[in-house]
Amino acid sequence: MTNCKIEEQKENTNNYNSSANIIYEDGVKLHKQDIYKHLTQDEKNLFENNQLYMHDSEYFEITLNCVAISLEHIFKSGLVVNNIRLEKPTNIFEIFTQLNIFIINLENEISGGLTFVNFDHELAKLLKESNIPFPSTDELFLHIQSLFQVINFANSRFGNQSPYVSFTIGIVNNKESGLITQTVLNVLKQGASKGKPYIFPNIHFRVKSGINKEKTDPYYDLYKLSLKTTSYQMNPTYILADSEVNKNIDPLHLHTVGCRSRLLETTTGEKYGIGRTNIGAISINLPNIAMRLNDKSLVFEEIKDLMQVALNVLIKNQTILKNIKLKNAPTLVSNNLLYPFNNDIDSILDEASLAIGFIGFQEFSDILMPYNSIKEKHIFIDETLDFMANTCKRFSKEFNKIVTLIGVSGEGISYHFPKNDKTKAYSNDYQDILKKGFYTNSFHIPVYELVNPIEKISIEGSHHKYCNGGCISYIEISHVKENIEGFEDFIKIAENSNVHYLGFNFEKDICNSCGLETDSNKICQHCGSSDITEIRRVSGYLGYLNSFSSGKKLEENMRIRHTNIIKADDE
Amino acid sequence: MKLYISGIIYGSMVDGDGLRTVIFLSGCSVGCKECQNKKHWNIKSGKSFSIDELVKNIKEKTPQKKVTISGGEPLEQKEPLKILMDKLDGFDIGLYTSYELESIDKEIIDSLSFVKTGKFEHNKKVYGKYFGSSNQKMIYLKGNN
Repeated sequence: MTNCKIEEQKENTNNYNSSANIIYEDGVKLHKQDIYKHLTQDEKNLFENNQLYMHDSEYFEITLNCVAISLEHIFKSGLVVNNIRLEKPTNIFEIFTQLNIFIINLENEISGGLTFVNFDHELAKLLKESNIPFPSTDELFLHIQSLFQVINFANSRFGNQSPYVSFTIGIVNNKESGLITQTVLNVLKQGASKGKPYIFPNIHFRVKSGINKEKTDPYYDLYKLSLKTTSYQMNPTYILADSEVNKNIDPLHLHTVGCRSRLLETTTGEKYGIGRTNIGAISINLPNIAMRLNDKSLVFEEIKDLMQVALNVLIKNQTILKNIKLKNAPTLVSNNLLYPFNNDIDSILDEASLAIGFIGFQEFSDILMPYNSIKEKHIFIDETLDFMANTCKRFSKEFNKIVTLIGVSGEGISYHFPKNDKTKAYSNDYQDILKKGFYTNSFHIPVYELVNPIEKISIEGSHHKYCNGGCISYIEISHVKENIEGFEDFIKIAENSNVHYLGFNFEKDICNSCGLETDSNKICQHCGSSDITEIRRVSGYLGYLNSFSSGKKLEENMRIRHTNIIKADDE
Repeated sequence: MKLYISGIIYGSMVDGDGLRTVIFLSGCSVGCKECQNKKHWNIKSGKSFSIDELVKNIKEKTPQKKVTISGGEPLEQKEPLKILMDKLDGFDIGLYTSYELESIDKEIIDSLSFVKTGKFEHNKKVYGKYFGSSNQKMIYLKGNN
């Protein structure tokens, strides 16, 4: 097989070659078929025709997708691994060793991401309650650094990839927890090797007034350090705790799992973010609906029908996981880590969300309303999202489930959906939309659109409230690292535009000869070398440009820096 | 009164502290050798705007209330510029000019939070800062920063 062919087939940016990878890839192919055993012929056709897509479908009937975990729960009565209860840690070495053990086991039991909610706050609490003396800053740095190094470089998940681990930080209430936040940020800022960023873990910083947002807040310096870190490494991303949908939720419960999952809904209506999980996610191919029907008045009914099928399939998985009693996730189960923390698999799975996703709102609106402005298109997108969110609400009530709506990044489908749609007769009139080779994530304004960043945030912000299963807005910037105030301004504007989760993207090019960052991706301005690694974010996590999956590579190619648009104002 | 404008960036991170709207005034008689915007040397190369219209647009699209006046050489349209600055009340205004501080009207200086002075000299080009060449100076005014 040629290299080119390998590149073409790359599904996931975060996959590395290994012997285990060969076995893994075969297993994935095999198990991706399992889902069909449970579908009717009509349902099967929808998946085979790329109208619906089950994310991580190889895990269907095997396990859960994405978990948000509390550190406190892991260590409360001694971590249970392989049926053995470990001694509770009596020093910081043991804490970090057991944490590593936990991550490696858990990431091989579930699909999707693993988030440690309140890492800073809970680690400080754990040290205190275990009577372990708080370490020196240098010692803490080394522990966190070695944890991050193992996460980033060990390919401990299936022997071919880094585990998708995230830490949510920033809501702290004492000196010790603040020192942990600070150290996490310093490790992240220093980078994994010669300034290159950690691909994993992902770090989410929560911005909250009274804690860290305002100059007068006690932990404002941590917010500034976080922004500074982002200006170097594109990480952390920001959970806006004061935004419309978040402001009445206890900030300690706000998190993101994997690329953007938000696991907060409960059957009682309470927003609870600790010890939460998801049964799976099925996404709808919106541009396909638009091409087939080509009529705004018909699309809602079709969307509803597809959402119903998605829900049916997710419920089947939920039932299967109940029947097998989550036997493939022993660490998760034996440590009683999931809400409502009663060791009862049925009620744990009843509290797990069933996520319905979507991709390609931009193309959907381009097909249905080709002659309208961006603003007009987004009014229609807003109406459609409102309809989808209400459908989820109605389903939740009717079936007594937690059905959520998520704006997915669709690492594989951004490419597979249009590739397949292109072969259908009904797409003949839309070749101009299909020729770029990818569908735009979620409800995002496309990367090639000339729109200023403030407009982009305010348009996308109006959609955030519908996505109770998660979504993110990104800003593409060109910037200078000294301009922390600029990042702060962006976050304020995003918060006022009802964005609840925000990330910054920029071009980061590092010279492999001198190790310095360079302004050009061709020739290093410091030493003249052309051996340069380009680092970009797509699909919610960073990667080196040559390792991106096909659709994402095409997308990256068309990006326009939102902060670099010059036009005479002719409105 | 009219202002001649060659472009506006809404949301720049590289033209002073914070997220800034940058207004490029057309017209420049300085004639820097390596100028990348020679086509804007002629004031008429820009589009003329009524000041009120411009102020309305800027206010609407600049919730963070930060602008940088750049060019061209913006001080070559000094009188309408003063009116524009006056009407952007409550704004943090920065100025990029090839003039030195001493030759800028006090009335203008008083409304600025910073001014970047000096001509762009290509052989002194610098990276990763708010200005183009090392001979240029960034002067913070009004105790801002």
